Amino acid sequence: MNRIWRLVFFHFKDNIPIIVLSWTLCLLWTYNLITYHEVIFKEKWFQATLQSIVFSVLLLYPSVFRFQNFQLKLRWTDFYRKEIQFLNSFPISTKEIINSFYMEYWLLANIYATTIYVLLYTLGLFDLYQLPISSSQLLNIILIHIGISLLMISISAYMQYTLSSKVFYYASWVFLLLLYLIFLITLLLTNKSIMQLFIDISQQWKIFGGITLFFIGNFIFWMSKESVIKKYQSHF
Amino acid sequence: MAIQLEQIAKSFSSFHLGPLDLSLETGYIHAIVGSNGAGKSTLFRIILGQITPDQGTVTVLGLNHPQEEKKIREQIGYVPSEYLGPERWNARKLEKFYRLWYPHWDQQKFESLISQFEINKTIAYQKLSTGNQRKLLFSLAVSCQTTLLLLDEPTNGYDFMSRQIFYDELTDFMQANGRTVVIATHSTEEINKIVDFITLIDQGQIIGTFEKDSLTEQWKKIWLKNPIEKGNDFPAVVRVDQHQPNLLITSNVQQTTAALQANGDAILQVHSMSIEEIVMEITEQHRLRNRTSLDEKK
Repeated sequence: MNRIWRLVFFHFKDNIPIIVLSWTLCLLWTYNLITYHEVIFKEKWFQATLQSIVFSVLLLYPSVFRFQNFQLKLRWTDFYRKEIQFLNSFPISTKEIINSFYMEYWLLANIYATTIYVLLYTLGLFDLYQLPISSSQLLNIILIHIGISLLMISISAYMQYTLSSKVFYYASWVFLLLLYLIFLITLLLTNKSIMQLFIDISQQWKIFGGITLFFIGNFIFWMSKESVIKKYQSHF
Repeated sequence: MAIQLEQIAKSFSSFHLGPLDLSLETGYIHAIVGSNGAGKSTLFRIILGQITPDQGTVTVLGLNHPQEEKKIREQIGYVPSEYLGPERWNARKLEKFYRLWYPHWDQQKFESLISQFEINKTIAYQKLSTGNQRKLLFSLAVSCQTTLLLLDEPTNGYDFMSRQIFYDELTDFMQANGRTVVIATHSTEEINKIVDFITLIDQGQIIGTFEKDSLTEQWKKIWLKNPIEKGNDFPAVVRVDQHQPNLLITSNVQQTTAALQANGDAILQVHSMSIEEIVMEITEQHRLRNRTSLDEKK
């Protein structure tokens, strides 16, 4: 088996609890899809906004996690560097290590996006919350979600592997706050949840919206990976 | 040569290593000895290719970093000073991971060591005692069946019985041709029992590489009947004790005693020195030389 795949799959199953937890939380939160109804939004602005943001984070943020990142520590740690240093004592090159990390992120983003939407679709939740979509729109939404997730991962992973661990710890909080801000602004400007926006894009742009975002996400993701490899080879 | 470093230097914000040259011969157990922060672990990480030096060349088993880093690491079993892998992994998981990367992995050897050290394979690494953590890392490194072992303070926290297993295992490891062990250690017991050569490192500089037996044979304390008269220089005398002027430290007992006898100085006793004392003397002399040359430059 290819060495990078060997590295990716060795502890890939460690990610399963995180994926399942994210799916569960996300499914539990889907009732929020109806709370964005304009009337409710006007009457209970704060509650609706908060719920919308939490939903957006729950929907998008889990796909940027690898199991190793999921350490609920309220202090900075340097486990990213430690992981690289640990793997670097084996017959594995730095390039292979970075490639495997990015591969793992890529797989997780794809698996997470595909399964969560297929679950929502097959459980009939889109219909239940008056957001009926066709199966081609479903594919479109999955591609949009993967594209956006990869964009987020590109930024977060680049910071993670190039900044010092302490700086990254604070930068990741800033990044999370920025995401909240983006979700909040989107909500204020459009009165629509992330999910509704995805559906809008998929309806207006047809399949090109999904494919375009998917390719942009993949391209930026690839650039982020290559920059990290280059940085490691020249600086560390 | 197992390891050859030429003009290696690496600067960190608070520490500078080198420039240094080091040649460690194949087929021996080498000890890297130095105080805390002397640069032992950095040296190991340069040999492994985890740190790229600012200058110089690193050749390990005839292969060069960074072009052949994977081939080099396939030949190195490594016990780090600090374990950096996932703390939730237990011996079983670590064994599986090691097996993936080392083509000559010896499962029988691993099972035997784990059972001798009485390590529970299902307990997470972080929950093992310090001694058991070190024993597990050593068992993993030896079972890789590589030609070079890099052991960074491997026996910290070992009990008496485990130390014996460690010595036996290293002796067994060295039975095969062309194998080399490099140990960074503070333990004089380890040096006395198994080491062939000692490389002293201090403040990022290599002081020198010495054959252990020749050090213990040559370095002696000589008690004289009368204090040495000022102005009398004898060969190989490292220093005269400040408080007891009739006590000499020599780095070549034959040369010094011959010269003393020729000068008519009566020798009362010749005492052996422990490795610890010899290392201290050499390091002190090195620091003194450095200080003097710095003063001269000023």
